[in-house]
Amino acid sequence: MTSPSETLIELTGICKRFGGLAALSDVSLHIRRGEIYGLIGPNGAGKTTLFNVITGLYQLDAGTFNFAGRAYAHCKPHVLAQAGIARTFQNIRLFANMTTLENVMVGRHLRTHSGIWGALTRSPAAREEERVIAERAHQLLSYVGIRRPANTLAKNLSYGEQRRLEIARALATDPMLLALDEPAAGMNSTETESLKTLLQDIRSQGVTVLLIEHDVKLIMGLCDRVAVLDYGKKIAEGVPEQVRNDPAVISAYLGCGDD
Amino acid sequence: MGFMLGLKAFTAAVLGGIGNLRGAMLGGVLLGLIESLGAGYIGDLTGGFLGSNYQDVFAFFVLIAVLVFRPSGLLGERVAERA
Amino acid sequence: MRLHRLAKHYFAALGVALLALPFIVDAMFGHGWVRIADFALLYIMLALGLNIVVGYAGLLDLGYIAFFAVGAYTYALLGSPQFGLHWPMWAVLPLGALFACGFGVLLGAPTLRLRGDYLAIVTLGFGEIIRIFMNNLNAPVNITNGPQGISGIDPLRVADFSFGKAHEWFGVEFAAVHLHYYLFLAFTLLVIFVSLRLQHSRIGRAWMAIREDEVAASAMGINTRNVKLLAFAMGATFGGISGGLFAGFQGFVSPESFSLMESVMVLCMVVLGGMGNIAGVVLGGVLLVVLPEAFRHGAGPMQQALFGKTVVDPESLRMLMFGLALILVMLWRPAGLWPSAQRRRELMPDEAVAQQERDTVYDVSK
Repeated sequence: MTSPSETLIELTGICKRFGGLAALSDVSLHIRRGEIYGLIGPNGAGKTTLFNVITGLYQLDAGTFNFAGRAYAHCKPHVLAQAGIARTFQNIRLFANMTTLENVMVGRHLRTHSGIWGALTRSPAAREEERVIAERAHQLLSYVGIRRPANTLAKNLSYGEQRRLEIARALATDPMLLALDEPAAGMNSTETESLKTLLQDIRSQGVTVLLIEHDVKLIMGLCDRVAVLDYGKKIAEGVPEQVRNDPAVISAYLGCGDD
Repeated sequence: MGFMLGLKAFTAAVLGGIGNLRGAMLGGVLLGLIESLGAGYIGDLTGGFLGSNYQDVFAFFVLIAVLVFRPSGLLGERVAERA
Repeated sequence: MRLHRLAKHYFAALGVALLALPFIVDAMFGHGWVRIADFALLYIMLALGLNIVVGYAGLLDLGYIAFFAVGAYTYALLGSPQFGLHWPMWAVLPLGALFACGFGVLLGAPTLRLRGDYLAIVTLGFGEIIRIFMNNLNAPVNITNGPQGISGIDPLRVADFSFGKAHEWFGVEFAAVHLHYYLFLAFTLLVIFVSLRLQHSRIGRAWMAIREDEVAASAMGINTRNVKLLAFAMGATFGGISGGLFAGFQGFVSPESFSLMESVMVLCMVVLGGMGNIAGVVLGGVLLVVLPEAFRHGAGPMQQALFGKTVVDPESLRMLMFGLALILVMLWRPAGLWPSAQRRRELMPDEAVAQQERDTVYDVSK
């Protein structure tokens, strides 16, 4: 599709502070189209903060944020979703009392248009759109491997299924960048293995994947490049092998007593 | 009316900054002043169209204005948004 | 297929019952109860409108009655001797709805980004403010006639047909309350239709997504501010329509009809019946109008029969029982008397959907 070296998202000098605490200071990184990019670091290193910045939940204090060639600083979350960034959440945030199918259908919201009038008249166009939304949602559900009836409430899914449903919902927005916040948390090794297959398949469809993960094995086996955050600063970046042997990374992990 | 009193108390608290003791006091004093001065002068300001019987509406407009322009109140700390 | 036909019969029977209801009620309990049925329909319309705001979009609105008031006063001012204007109903009703909608947007635009509890307080305040204005806009320029209210409001009428007078067709006399019943029934069905259509649409899903998790909804690309504003405006519009009908039916409006208690009452209908479920909300509306009335009429005579005298004033007993019933329902059925079908659907999966699921199973681990 596109050349692999083309930059999809570029962050330069990102700063974010909460009161006196600098959650991110001067973080710069760029992610190329079509790669799986891992973001690791000890707890509280600012990984989720960075996620919230690039998905518009937090407004950055300084720095520039370019996505697909356009500047997106200080945008609302729905604008960034429209631009092509979809995400999942570390502490799963599904629409708990809606069915699995409806959850994914909500993801189609921004790629569809029918409004009040279409809903009231059920015009052929509106009905057709609704049918296509449902069809795509069914496809995505089976794609991520949820085999329950589509009218199961999201809150009644197992933990692993809920994580997959979040991915399906994010994919429904037709993202260019899929940002996953600890997708393997709480999964057993079989589930993690099938998640890995799923993510590789998603990438092969041309979607760039940004991944926060604690499971170092998964990161090392899956990512093309990895960045390490510690105390809100990027301390290393590169291919997994290189990062794993970086002395700064080793000391950050040992120093924190994490893992 | 009991709940009108409640609404004013809430407004005073929001004006000063929720969760801030000094803020609540300041908000209460300020709201009281705004209300009385407003009710006293509204007749002059609107050329007699509105009178002091609109006293109760001031609390409401103060509430809206604070929530829109300074949701943390006068003395409140900036509350970090939940993600 | 058989089920479909059964449903058809069921709906036909329900339709006949609804059409015959005023005559049955009239024969059994008298005119007064037909009037109560009319009010029940008005309240159901209100509750359905609030259901869009509270039940679908999850925005707690404690001043909903203000929109009802705006609709009612619009009708009253444009169709009464107050200004000597006697505009026809087909012009005034939509205008009232439009004004109510405008007020909804006006209130919603600055406040809808607030958190739930703040929104509740602000809407509560708004409801009161509207009432204060209605109460005081009689001097120096008399607009609303103040606490005395506006009387002599034109009856609802379409062209030459007035709903305020009895008519006779086929040798059957239709009293004014009967005619209003049919008119309100038609409007209620319209509101139900709109609610149903919206519920199962792209917009309805967006509302529910916001109710479930606003942050996730916005991350999924929903413009939460606009979508919430739309819910607010829709709810307000329904409130405005029923307000206009109320003014025309009653012939008199005063600020007293739009107190906080009314807002609470409508909210109770929604919560008690089952938030987000249309049938539940209708049930809640019927129960909260009919039961207190029945109690009012029944409690006095019953005490006479039991104790030979009236021990507790029926009026205060009524409120006591009302509060007690609410608490009990919320304790035992927190989701309301008739919660949404979603939970039932879960127990009986749709066979067609299940089949499709089986056909398209995709194993990621292979």
